[in-house]
Amino acid sequence: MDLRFSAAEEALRDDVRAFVRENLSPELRQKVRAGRHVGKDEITAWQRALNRAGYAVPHWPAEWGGRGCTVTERYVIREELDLAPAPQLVGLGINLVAPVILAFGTRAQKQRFLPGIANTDEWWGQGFSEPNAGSDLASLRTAARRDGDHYVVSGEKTWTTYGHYADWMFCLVRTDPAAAPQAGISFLLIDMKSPGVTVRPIRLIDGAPPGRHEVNQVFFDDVRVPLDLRVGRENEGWSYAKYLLSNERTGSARVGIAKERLRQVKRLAAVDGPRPALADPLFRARVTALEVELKAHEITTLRVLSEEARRGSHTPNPLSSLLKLRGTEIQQKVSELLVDLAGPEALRLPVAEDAEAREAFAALETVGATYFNWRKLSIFGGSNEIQRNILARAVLGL
Amino acid sequence: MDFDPTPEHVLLRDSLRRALADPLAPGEASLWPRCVELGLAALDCRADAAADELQCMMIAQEELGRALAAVPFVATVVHAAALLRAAGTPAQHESALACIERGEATLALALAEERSRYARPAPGVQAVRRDGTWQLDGELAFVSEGDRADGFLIAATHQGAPTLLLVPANAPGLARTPVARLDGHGAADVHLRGVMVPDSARVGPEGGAHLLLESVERMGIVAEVAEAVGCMDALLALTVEYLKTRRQFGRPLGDFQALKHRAADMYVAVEQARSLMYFATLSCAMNDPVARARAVAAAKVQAARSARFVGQQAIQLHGGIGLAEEYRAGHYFRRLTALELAHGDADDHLAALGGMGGLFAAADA
Ligand SMILES: Cc1cc2nc3c(=O)[nH]c(=O)nc-3n(C[C@H](O)[C@H](O)[C@H](O)COP(=O)(O)OP(=O)(O)OC[C@H]3O[C@@H](n4cnc5c(N)ncnc54)[C@H](O)[C@@H]3O)c2cc1C
Repeated sequence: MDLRFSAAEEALRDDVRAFVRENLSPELRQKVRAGRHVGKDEITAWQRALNRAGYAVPHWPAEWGGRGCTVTERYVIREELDLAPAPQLVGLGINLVAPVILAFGTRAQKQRFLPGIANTDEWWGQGFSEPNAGSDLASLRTAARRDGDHYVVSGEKTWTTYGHYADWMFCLVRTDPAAAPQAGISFLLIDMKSPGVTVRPIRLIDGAPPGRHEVNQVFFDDVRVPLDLRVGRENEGWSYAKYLLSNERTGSARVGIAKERLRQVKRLAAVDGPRPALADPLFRARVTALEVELKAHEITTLRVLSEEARRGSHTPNPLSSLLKLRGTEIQQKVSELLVDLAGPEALRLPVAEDAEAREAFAALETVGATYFNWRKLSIFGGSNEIQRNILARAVLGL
Repeated sequence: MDFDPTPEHVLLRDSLRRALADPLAPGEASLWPRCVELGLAALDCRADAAADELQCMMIAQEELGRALAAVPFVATVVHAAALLRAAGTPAQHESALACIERGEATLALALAEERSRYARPAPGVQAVRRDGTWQLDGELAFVSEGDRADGFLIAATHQGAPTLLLVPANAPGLARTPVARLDGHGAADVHLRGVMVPDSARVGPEGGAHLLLESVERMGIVAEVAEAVGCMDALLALTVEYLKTRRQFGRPLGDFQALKHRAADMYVAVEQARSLMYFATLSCAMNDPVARARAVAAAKVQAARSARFVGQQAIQLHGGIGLAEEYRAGHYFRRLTALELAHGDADDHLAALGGMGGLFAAADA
């Protein structure tokens, strides 16, 4: 047992830090720190820079541009980037669909898609949820019927994050309507430029203006998808989806992001107006209590990751539910502290981009919007109630 | 003990509920005229007003909360009109106050200096008095309902103490920038550059705004607690309805015990806030300033905590749809967030209440 990172891991941390210093512009860093909108082009450029340095897909095998690094190394890289803070990595391609393609895809699929994912040349969307299939994902109805060497897909997906940016969607479709719900699902890769695909924005309660929205409805009207864009075997998509969701949950531990936000809280609480909030014992107690929670979560995350590294299998890990649950709850609590710091003005809609970050308080500009937006964290990726169900069933045997 | 509304209260509640049921018609700029018609603009909301008037205030606010009506009731009636009633001159009663009562004008109370969250009172405007004229300079950020108000009651600092002055919105030198708010209400940043008003615009004694404001702000908190209770009640009903209709895993969400319990906890939270809403409103009528201050602080602590819990859980139990702008749950959540943060948050009032010795006396030795 040892709490410390190895010398090699610490060296890696230094490398990432140096990379960030040289490559992340102060403007972009400030934007991320203040929670302002980061556009598609900025994210793309940043992720390409990461890829050049080997930090975008370090966990992939070397053959496909990764460095086959350990889970701990990957954790260190991600934490450093989050602490910077650098723009949040959009993991839809890199962390969600790519591991599925790597594990279950054909060689041709790997050649076709992995380079574009690694370099963010192509954006991806996740087509799982439907209006009537949210928590009960297996009841999804978007249908794919065979027509020669194609599937013909019809149906509706919803809540598709970055669907308006996406060049491709990885999509769960029903290929056997007669089978039991989980048994008739396949995993398709759909070209969003195909005829019959319509994307419509959904506005959220964070006040983001049209055009800066985040999620979408996606309609498929007899969309033709070549058979060779199915990943894995027909009607076995559910097991690939479970593997993907387990990765998604581990990814939502987001220890680095919570740490960075908590540091912001402490910085702002020390300078806030005539009476610093940190001098208020009630506020300070809440900050400190959250620090304890975050430390417990951090160590738990490292424990789960070490265990996962040992198992090294492609089976879903129920402990990822533990990380998702705590990680999202803690992030939501940090966003509450920021709202409390801002006071009534948290309700002020974020001011326009160019009203530049002048002083410390600028960081409070978007806390209301973020607080409302971050309620999503306990809903998506499998709601926190579903995570509790999984823990009770798969870990406690209840 | 009696928590039952009188027949007049029931009438007010029902007619308001009916009047606010329909959304704004095309060309109708605000729901406020509908409220004026039902007498809300003429309520006397001073702390020492007749108990019945304060109960009407409470009932009205609950309905305004339920309907998510973005009207300037607190700013204009609970704050400004009460100040004019308490300290205004006969001339001000005949002009400004009468205009408010007839629904011809709305006023906003301009106190907050930029981000002066915990440092009250912190007037951000300096006043200089010369030959019976006041000159005002300064900035006031995030003045509630200040975007449309016809005038402002401004607490300006003169020789170290705040003086209240009534300033028309069109006074030369006064500029305002409307602020977009996430809860649909209005606000403005107000800038004053050499604004001149005569001494007849003064409300109350020179340097005497502090005491006046304390009492009026406290009543504002009671009103906001009642609005929060109305919001929570409606949001809980919306959530329960959703749990009954939305189906996942082949059954209504409401079949899942985890969700039943959560809804029950929300109900408990709403009822605790409602109880302290009564406690605060009825304590005001008892005319004991210390008891009143304690009751209001306690009500605010409970309402703020309940509002946060009920708001967050309502979104959670709805799933994704709770986050959609087109759905109403999020609008309640945002308003509840505004209400819990306005005029001191839960921590603020908890500290204040503790400082006053809490609610219950210590046991004898
Ligand atoms: C901002 C945002 C982005 C998203 N991005 C994507 C995306 O890119 N791709 C995608 O496919 N999906 C995405 N989603 C959808 C997300 O995965 C779903 O919202 C989520 O699975 C919940 O489904 P639902 O919204 O239908 O809620 P419901 O399933 O209807 O759930 C409503 C409530 O009931 C609870 N509940 C349901 N079943 C049970 C049970 N058995 N026991 C106890 N409680 C239960 C839930 O926890 C929740 O509180 C996104 C959602 C949001 C809000």
